[in-house]
Amino acid sequence: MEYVLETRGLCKHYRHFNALDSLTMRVPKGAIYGLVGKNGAGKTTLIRVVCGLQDPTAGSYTLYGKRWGERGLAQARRRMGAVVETPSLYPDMTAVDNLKMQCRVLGLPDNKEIPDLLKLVGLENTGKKKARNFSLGMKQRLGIAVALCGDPDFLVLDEPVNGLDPQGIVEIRELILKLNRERQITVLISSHILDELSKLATHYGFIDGGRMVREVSAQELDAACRKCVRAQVTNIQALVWVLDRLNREYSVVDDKWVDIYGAVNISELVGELDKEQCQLLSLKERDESLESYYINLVGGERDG
Amino acid sequence: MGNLLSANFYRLLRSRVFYAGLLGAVGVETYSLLSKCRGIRNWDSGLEEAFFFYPMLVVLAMPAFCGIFLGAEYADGTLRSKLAAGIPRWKVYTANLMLAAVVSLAFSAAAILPGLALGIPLVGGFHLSAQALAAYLVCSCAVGVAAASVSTMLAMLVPNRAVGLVVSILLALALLFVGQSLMAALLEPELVQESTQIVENGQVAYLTKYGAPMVPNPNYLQGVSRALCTFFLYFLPTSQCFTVAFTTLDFPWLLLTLAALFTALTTGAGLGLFVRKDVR
Repeated sequence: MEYVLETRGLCKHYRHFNALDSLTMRVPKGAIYGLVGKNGAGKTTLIRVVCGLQDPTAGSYTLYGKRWGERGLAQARRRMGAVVETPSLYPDMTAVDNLKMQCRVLGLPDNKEIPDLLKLVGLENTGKKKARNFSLGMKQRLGIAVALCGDPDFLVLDEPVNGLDPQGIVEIRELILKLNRERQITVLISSHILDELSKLATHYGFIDGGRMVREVSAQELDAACRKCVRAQVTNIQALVWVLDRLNREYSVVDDKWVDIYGAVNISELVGELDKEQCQLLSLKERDESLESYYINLVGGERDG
Repeated sequence: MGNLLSANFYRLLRSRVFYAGLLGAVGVETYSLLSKCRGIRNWDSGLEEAFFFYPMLVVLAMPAFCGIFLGAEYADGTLRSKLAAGIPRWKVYTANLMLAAVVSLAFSAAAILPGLALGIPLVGGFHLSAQALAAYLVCSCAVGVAAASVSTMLAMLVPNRAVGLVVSILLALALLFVGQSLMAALLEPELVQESTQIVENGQVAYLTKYGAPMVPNPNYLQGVSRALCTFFLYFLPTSQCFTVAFTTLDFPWLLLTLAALFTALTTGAGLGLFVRKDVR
């Protein structure tokens, strides 16, 4: 698999605080990589380091195959757009002028892509309205448009839906999905809103205390979070035999418990177990969301 | 670098702060010229007596301009998008310094034009030689560029715009006071007429008799202290502006050299720190 961004043992120490502690992660090309972690977990620090705003204290990272400190890294950064914390906008300028500024900074030969970018983010009708008078959602979308100047193929978004109303959240989600599907842009996105992230991400990185706790793909996470009932019986072998006969998907947790996936007809199950002289002792429905998966993974309070 | 300069000037030409600074320069120079002319009935000096006050204005205006205009790069987060796009930090810093230097020259020009337009009809021409006048004009520009350099350094190193603005203006005011004190100390005459100290009702006064002999002035600086004071007078933009304003510029080449040294040192220090700085 080709990776856009790889970090190896990345550390960032402030005076009395380790913001990143040997963090290792890999963002596959074409993915929407959701960075999940509670406040102070190190998400924004990681993004700042990756964007070149801060140097790592130890470890390294590779962007499009160019290692940190290598000569070609600045050129590799040209393939990246970022919105770190708040959108980077000139408040006294219109949407068009903000994009013209970024085009000039990047040395783009003309401003041909500006109308398309404004249309893409739904800001084509803002006219002479200054960015300072935009709503938060409009600012966020303009920030993304600025990050898209120069046609990058890797977009880094730090908490892009923070503070947005439900409509704004949906607009940003649709924009990110559109960029990923239509323009094949790889997206690294950090968010507190796990439910929202679960509608977007194809890969997840769970970060806690500056460390990468686990990296999983959306499929792996779906499998881990599937609806199931956890059954306890007197004879586990009898239950396995019955489930095979009923053609049910299951996984054996230990010598007492079995997770059964999909809808379960309890009467049918009890009847079949009875034929095998096996008793059903308890049955618990399990529905693990991304949030509960995360809480189980890192523990602590529910502020991820 | 050209891209960054192009973007900087694109923004500058849309900046109200810049135009406010230009208007301020016109206003202050006009006011200082008119008030000086009003105060002196029989003007027998050249225009230079009232003309060169603008470097002082530039020295005060540059910290305010850089604090607002360049400080906005931190406040609005636009510095982040430049760095994230792979623009080297030294280029960002240098482009901002070049912009600030041009703005200092623009502020000077904005003061020079009304100064000439009003001053020549009101007062008459300069009594300075063409060479001396050119030296004053060039040195006034050098003072502006040195002020732009230190203001850029502060604006690029202090991420909080309000703090940066206050710190740089207070520093400029404090250094202007230092400059004034240096100027006053160096203008003390070597010899003064002998005077007698008298105390009346607890008040100390000095009585100088007509025709009293000249004696060495105890406040006259000599040796190392004079050399040091002269160095700092010609080194700090906040004192350089006094030598230009009061047309007491004895060593224009020294001022130009030390202004260049000041600019190089502040730029070197600013660049060195900015390149290593953690940007939030």
